[in-house]
Amino acid sequence: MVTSFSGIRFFFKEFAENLRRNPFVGLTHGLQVIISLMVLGFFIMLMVFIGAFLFSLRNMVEVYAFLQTDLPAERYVEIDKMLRDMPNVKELQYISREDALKKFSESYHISVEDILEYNPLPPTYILRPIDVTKIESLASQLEDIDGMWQVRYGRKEVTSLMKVLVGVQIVFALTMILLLSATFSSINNIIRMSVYSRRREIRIMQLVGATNWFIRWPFIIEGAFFGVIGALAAVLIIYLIGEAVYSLLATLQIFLPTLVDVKVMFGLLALGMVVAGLLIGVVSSLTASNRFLSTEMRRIEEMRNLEVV
Amino acid sequence: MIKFVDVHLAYSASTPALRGIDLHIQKQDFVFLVGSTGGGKSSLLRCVYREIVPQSGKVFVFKKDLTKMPLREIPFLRRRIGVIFQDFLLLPQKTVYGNVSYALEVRGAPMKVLRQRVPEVLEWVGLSRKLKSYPDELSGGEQQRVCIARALVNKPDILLADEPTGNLDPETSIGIVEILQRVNVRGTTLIVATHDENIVNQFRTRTVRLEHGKITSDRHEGGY
Repeated sequence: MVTSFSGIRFFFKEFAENLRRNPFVGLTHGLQVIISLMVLGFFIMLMVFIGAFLFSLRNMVEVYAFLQTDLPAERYVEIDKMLRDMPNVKELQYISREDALKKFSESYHISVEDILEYNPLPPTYILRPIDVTKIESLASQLEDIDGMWQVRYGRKEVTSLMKVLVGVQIVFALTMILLLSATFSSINNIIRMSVYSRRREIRIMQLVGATNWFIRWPFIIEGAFFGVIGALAAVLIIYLIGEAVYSLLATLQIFLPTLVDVKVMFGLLALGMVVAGLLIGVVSSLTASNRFLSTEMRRIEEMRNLEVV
Repeated sequence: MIKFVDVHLAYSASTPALRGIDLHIQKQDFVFLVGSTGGGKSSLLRCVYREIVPQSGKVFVFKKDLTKMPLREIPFLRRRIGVIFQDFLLLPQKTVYGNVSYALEVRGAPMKVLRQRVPEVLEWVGLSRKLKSYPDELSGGEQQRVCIARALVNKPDILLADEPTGNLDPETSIGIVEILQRVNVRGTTLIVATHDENIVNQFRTRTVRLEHGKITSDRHEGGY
């Protein structure tokens, strides 16, 4: 690898000259990176919103624990302590029989006590689990408590939600791999075109004694440049479109629920895209130039292995 | 300086290019490689700058066995060898100065060296007034002189010329070989592959004839 100043000057000069000489290839390269990374960026944004929405649903999952109505007072205290000490409980809310009756009457506009002449509603605990996947074991733990009358939670809904969440995660991962591969491959193709269009120069470089690293560097700079510039342009476009969509929704008096901190998310997305652009650009340039340079070595090796008649 | 020992080379199983070549070229020799097209002249030169490796035999350059040379050492071998081609292999988008300085730049030579050596070598080949011209603005002879300047700018120990006069008229050809001869007089080992009878007869130096991949004659007094 070359580190001398004149070497670095040469790399940048070659890169700039190539850009000036082949503006169309440069433009195509830039647009390709912008489009690929923009699609990737939009997809990530969309998935983050969907993910946040599903996770917010997950947080809404509650377990209702109804106690028997005829327990001695000290048992209610013991049960309260047991529930508060349970490990998988994020939030615990107690609704007394009186509160339950009051709520019921308010909701249905009837007085149950007047009809039945007693309060049939049990004392209730509403529990929010820390880990929704372990909700069944939480429910069975509650059912095992002496003095528990009934435990209820949306078993079906929770199972469906968990399935959807797992599905979304798989789709997200697969689409990410697909989009990243597509981005990598499109940048790789452009660099390969660039390497191929400069094969004459590469041959001259090889003949006058340039090392392979010296030949690779201008391509690596080119890949890194287009990766970063393309990512920045894609980030800008996503920002402008996002702003426009927000303004439009505000005009239409539609307000989205605050699921994630949009500014933080956009900042992370921008950073991630620039890093991804840089990495994809560098790696694809290395792959493309290596492929070209190794063709020559392969040819020599194949010749060397020939059986001469 | 260059030694071939029983070298066999083929581009495919049924088309041998070199068959049992034994050749010894001393430092500062001026050798013409002659013979009909396909005789093996270019293949022999390509073995010297390690563009190809023979299937059997040994090729020694600067006392190093090129058949065993690791890939990472090839650039450093080539820095000591200048190569000139029939089709010049110039970069059309670069000026005469740019084409010649390119050979120094790809080695990471400092600017100071470039500024000193490029005008020097261009003056030596008689192109000091064409520094800013582009290859397509030059005649065939001038383009070949740019190619020679590029090969010489690194001060090589060996200069290889593959049909350097192939695209030139007889008068210009003589001029080109005269420049090459001056390079040789300055101490560079010179091998010129050609089928130009006139220049071989005029310069009367060691002449090796290759036919169908075999050396059929090696005359030190020269002549086609």
